[in-house]
This record gives sequence, structure tokens and C-alpha cells, in this order.
Amino acid sequence: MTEAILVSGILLMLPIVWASFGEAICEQAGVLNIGVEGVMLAGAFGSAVVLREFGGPWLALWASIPLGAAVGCVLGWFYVIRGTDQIVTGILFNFLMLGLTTVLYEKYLTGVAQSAGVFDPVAIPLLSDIPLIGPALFDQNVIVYLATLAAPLLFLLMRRTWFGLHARAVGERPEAADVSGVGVSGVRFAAVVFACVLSSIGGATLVVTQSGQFTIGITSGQGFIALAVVVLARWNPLLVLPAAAVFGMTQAFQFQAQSAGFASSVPFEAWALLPYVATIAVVVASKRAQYPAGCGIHYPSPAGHRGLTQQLLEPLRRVAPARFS
Amino acid sequence: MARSVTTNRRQSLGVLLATLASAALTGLVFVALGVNPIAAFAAMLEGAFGSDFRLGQTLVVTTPLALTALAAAIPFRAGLWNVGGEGQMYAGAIAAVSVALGMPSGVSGPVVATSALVIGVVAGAGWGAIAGLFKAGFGANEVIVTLMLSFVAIGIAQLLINGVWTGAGISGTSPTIPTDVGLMNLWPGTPVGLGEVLGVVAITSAAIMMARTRLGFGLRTIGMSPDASRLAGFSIGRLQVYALAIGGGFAGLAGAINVVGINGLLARDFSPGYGFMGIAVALIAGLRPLLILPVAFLYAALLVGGYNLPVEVGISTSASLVVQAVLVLSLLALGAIRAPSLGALGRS
Repeated sequence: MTEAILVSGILLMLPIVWASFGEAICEQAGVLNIGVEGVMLAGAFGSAVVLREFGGPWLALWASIPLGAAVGCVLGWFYVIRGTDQIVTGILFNFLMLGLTTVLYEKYLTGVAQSAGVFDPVAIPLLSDIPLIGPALFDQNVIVYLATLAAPLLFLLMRRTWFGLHARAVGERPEAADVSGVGVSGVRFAAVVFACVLSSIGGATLVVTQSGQFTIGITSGQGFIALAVVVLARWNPLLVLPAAAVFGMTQAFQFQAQSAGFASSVPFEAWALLPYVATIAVVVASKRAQYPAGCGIHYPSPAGHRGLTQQLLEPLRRVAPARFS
Repeated sequence: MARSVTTNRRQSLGVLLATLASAALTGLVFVALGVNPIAAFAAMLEGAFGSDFRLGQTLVVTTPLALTALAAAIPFRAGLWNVGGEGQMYAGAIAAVSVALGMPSGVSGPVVATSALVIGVVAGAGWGAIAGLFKAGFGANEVIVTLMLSFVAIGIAQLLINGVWTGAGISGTSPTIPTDVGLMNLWPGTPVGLGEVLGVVAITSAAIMMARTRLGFGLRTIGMSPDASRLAGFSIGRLQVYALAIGGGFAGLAGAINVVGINGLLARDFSPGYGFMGIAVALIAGLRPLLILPVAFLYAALLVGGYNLPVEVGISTSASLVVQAVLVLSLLALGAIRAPSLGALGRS
């Protein structure tokens, strides 16, 4: 029972984890992406199409990366280059993606038998024999291991590399970053694209680790839960894992309680309220759960400074100096 | 003067370009779906205005859009985001249906209907005021609190429908309220009734309140300059609570009208996202209460027109979500509408 809850809880929290990774980075760079739900939908839809047409969960997972980057470029154009209001843009982007994926699904994907090639659990020798936590942590699909690996890497990316430091600078004090020579728009744009890639992987995870197919509104608010998880995790990729686990585990507990036949005294719908209530409680109670100071405000690139194109190329130049200088 | 004429001209040009761009983009989407775009737009037009009943349906959908737009616009004017119109509307609907179901059977229909509406407004206002209190008392960011409270309200509606009001007959709804509880129909053959009149009255009184009363002046002042209003002796925290409560009250009215006047019950998915669409309506209307009505009407036409798409051209209703989103995003991207900048989410 406990083991079953742990195993399915980890599986259920996985999409939220990836989406929260993305959102944490985006918000630290000063862009509030309420459109994360829509990005996840896009990723889920794209990977479901690839899974059906070409088969193979790996290909479906990989496909969500360029798709996420493309979606990120569109959102980045709105948020960073046009400087449209982030909250309204995000809300409308969610509507756009819900509408697009629904019409495309109803037109092209319904009624067709879909392949269900999902990732199978891979047991890690020895570790998976540990009672209780062994099956939950070390006999899971490969995306669980990737997420565990990604958390410290993303933590280091945000704390130890030029990208993370610049991103946090433009998220906290864009003017200060600007006068010290950081191209605010370039860093923010790169952060949005990277965040959308991670969130898109989260959407794909819904497909390739669970049912193997797309359904209308498959994300069912998990993007919004990611917004909540990010606040609970205080924008720290390492803390995203326990924060998301709270939600994955309560959900798994409910499913298990239902299938095991003992009616829980607290109905399922009440548990579903938990992430939202917890977030409100944390935001109200904790002074430390404050958004990055520049989050949500557009910072227009001052004229006469380095041109926008130069700024946008800057992150690429850092990665591959020979090609972009 | 010259400057404002240029701005106006630039803005009208932006609106024109955005409309053309979004027509082209959504046209492409229709082509990708294997549908003639002209036929699709014609079907939407037909669906929104093609008959008395359809025009009436558009008017009925205008009401919640206009009221939730007001729910966003009033806190906006006071310098606050209200992303929770959806939840405040659900709070109003839940309260209204509880009152209508809970009243003893002897009470006459109009009395029940009136009290359901009033309690609905109070519930919406209360739901908004929670966010206001957290903002004023703890500095909790109202974007995140109103958004999360929306999901809480929708969740409570689910909880009540599945857990308390079981055996309703239709799945996903509460039991039907007594048949003598309703709002008078004003246009036979269409669903247009007293609810729409209430919507217009609410918007007019909001416009008067914002422009002519001490409260409205206070709200506008804290929106424009918190420091000046503090010096002028306004209590900022109290006005912030009022702003979100008043906004929430209007959204609550939208929910109560839906229960009492339209559906006669609380349906779990009675809203296709009115509360969120209302934010877009408020911004397109430039936060001016009187402009909200025509903008909401046009937005409702897109929504209701979409219901005709499956019948006429065989694609999902959701295509109208694409049309709406592309249109508003184009307006935003071309600078034709602008959200007032309300500063950061974080500490300042």
C-alpha cells in the first residue's frame, strides 16, 4: 500500500516537476509565465503525435524539445521583445493552446487507435532492492532519473554559471544588470526559451510515462500547480522535488484509497484543493516567499545601448563563440 | 492635443492591423483543419447573430463577460490585479444555488430569487475580499492569491456537486432549484431576461461610482499615486480590500445570474472561462466601465459564434478560443491595447 502510493506518487509528480523547473528559471529571470499550462499542452500534443506516427517514447520525448523551443520563441517575442503584459499574454496563450490542441485532436487524432509505447521502469541493481524506497525511487522510468539528475544541474546552472547569475540579476534588478553591461532582453529571452523547453518536456512526460496518448485538456491544471510549486520551492530547483512530491503523493494516496476500497473520510475533491490552499498559505505566511523583484515587469532595452539583435545573440555567442561572433 | 490625435490614429491603425493579422492567422488555422476560412467566419457570424434566439444567446453571454470584466477593471483602476474573477463568479454561483436549494418551500419565488442574487453578490465580494485582506495585511501578492483562490472555488463547486448534492439526476450538476425561482424572461423565444438588465444596471452604477463618488475617487487615487493618497488621508489597505471586494461582488453577481436566471442549477462547467476572458475584455475596453459593454458583446459574439462551427463546418467549438486568443494577442503585440503597468510582483 505505502509502496504503491510512493511509486505512483513519483510518477504523478513528474510532469509538475519539469514544468516547475522551467517556471522557476523563467521567474528568476523576471518573466512570469502564466502560459506554462499552454506550453505543457503543446508538448503533450506534439509528443503524442510523434508517438503515434513514428512510435517510440524516446523520439516522442526528444520531439518535445524543439517544439518547446519554438513555443518559447513565440512567448519570448511577446514577453521580452514586444513587452506585452505578461499576465494577460499568458492567460490568452493558455486559451490559444487549449483551442489549438482541441481542434487538431478532434480533427486528426480521435478514433484512431493510438500506440501506447510508454517508458517502462528500469530497475537499478541493488538500490532497487531496498525495501519501500527502492521500488519508488530506483525502479522507475528513465525520466524520473533524468529529473533527479536535472535538479542539481539546474541548481548549479542558476548559482554558478554566467547564465544563472545574469538571469537572476535581470530578474531582481534589471536596471542594475543593464548598466553593468548585461543585455537584459537577451538573457530574458534565452531564459524563456529554456523554460519552455523544460515545461514542454513536462507536457510530453504526461504522455510518454502515463497513458501513451493525448486527451483534450490532458494537463488539467498541472501548469497552474507548477506556478504554485515554484512559490513553495522558493525558486530553487532542488526544492522543487519535495514541493512537487507533496502534490504527487496526496494524489496517489487518494487513488490508492479509492481502489483499495476503504472510503477515505476526506473526499478526493478536497485533496485536490491542497496545492492551491498551501500556496496561498505560504505566500501569506512567509516573507521569504517573495517573487524576484523584477518579476512581471517588462524592461525595455534602452536605445543606444547594444542593439536587440546583438543582445539576443549574446547567449548563443557564449555557448558557441566561434559560430556567432 | 496634436499628440493625442497622433496616438489615437496610431492606435486605430494598430486595431486595424491586428484585426487583419488575426484574420489571416486564424484563416491559416482553418485551412490547416481542412475548412474554408470564409465559410468558417460566416458560420461564426451566423451563429452569433443569425436568428433572434442566437442574438439572444449572445446577449446572455455578454452579461457574465461584462460583469467579470468589471471585476478586473475596478481593482485595476486601484492598482491591483484581479485574476480571480472566475473564482469569485463560482463563489457567487455556489452561494446562490445553496440559498435557492436551502430555502423552506413556503417562501415565494421572487423572494428566493432576490435573496439568492444578493447572497451571490456577497459571496463573490467575500471571495475577493480575502485576497484584498491578504494583500493589505501581509503584502501577499494578489496575482497569485486571486489565481489560486479561483481554483479553490472551482474545486469547492466540484466537491459540493460530487459530495453533497449527489443524486442530482444529471452528472456534474447540483439539483435543480424550484421552478418558480427565476428571473423574468423579457424577450420570448430567447433566453434574454432580467439578468441582462441587472448586468446593464450594475455596469452603469459602477461607472457612476468610479466617476462620481468619494469611494470611486479614493480607488482611482490609490491606483494613480499611493503616496499622494496616503498624504491625502486615504487608508490604502482598506481601499485595496474594497477594490477587490467590489470587483468580486460583480463577478459573484454573474455567477448568481447564471444559476437563478439561466441554468436553474449549478453546473460544474457552466463557465468556459468567463472570468479569464473578462480580463481581456476589461483591457480592450481600456478599463472604462461604459466601453466594457460593447466590447463584451463582441467578445460574446466570437464565443457564441463558435458554437455554430461543429454544425456548419464540422470542427470543434474550441476553434473560437483560437480566434479570440489570436485576436487579443495581436492587439497586444501591435500595441493597440496596453495593460496599465502595475509594477512588480515582488517586493519593491
